[in-house]
Amino acid sequence: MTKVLEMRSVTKVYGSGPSEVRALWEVDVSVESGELVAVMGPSGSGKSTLLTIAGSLEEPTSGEVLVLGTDLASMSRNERARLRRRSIGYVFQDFNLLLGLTAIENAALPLELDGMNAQQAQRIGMQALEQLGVAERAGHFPDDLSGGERQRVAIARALVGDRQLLLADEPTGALDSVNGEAVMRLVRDACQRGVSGVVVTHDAQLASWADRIVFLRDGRVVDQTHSTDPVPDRLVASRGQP
Amino acid sequence: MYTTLQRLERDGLVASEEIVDGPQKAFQITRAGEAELRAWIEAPSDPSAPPRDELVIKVLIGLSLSGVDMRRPLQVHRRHLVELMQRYTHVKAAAAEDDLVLPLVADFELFRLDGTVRWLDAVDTRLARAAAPHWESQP
Repeated sequence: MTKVLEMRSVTKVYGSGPSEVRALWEVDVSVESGELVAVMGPSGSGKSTLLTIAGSLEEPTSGEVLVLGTDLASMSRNERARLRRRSIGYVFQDFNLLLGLTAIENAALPLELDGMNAQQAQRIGMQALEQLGVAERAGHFPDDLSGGERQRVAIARALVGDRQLLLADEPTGALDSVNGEAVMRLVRDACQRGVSGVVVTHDAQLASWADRIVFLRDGRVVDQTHSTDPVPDRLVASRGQP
Repeated sequence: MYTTLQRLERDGLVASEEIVDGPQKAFQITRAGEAELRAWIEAPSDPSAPPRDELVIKVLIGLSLSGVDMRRPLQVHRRHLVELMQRYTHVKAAAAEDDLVLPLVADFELFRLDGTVRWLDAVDTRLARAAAPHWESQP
């Protein structure tokens, strides 16, 4: 299996002296191709910092971050920006759609920013909307969409084109549990198509959609789940019983 | 099964009839039985917690011991619960689209386990606020 993301002994320190804050401390996390990893921890555990560093939006104080086998530190700013546009998709808690753009314009935006002409970008954007079941809402503005539809558009934008790494920060936001589950099914489906995903969350139900869960406390990886057994017998036994 | 059905028949909640070509009886719910069933479905179940939850007892005893850093055992319990949640989520994910029963049963277990994980998180937070890895037992 290919490692799509590899964080080696990553430390992030903000401030210095008495006001120094260690957001991450010697964190090792790697994600294989097609794997969905959840990083679970309470507020202030460093999970959002981990995600922004993994996505090259922020640099670590020390340690290495490799995306698709390339050390981010060895890349120029332009190369990192191109990597973000072409290979990495982000999904945020508050969706972050541009309100002045329609669903299809939002979904096609990363491709247009990467220099693709608008017509071709929107054709590929439409494929992403179709994959997420919101193609019929393509011409609507975010304010006309439900919360679930907005997040589907946001995921379409994150996956549009040939993205290989999906980074999501509490991606179910304020959605109810069933709509939140629908979002996680879409993320899981993307991973089954070969995209690698990292979801950071404090929510155990959300994290339980992942293949592997890494537990973060006070900026350190303290534990991770082991491979899981098959279905609990009790649940199977209750199947079909009134 | 038959004992229960006979009791229900005695109370007028089901009625039986002999099956001509077999030794078995067929039972059918009566109107009184339907009314009783509807009343039972609407009646709130007893939500009171079991009087002695093993996890709560383990955590309280752990806290009463001096020199025990509870963060490790709390994380062991948390991981165990989350791994169990992963299994129920896999069950739900694999359910057929038109299957309503399996996701509902899985959801019930997931919400129950999630509640316990949240309780462990609250214990962690309270311990951190108390700024001590363990508390001395109170007299």
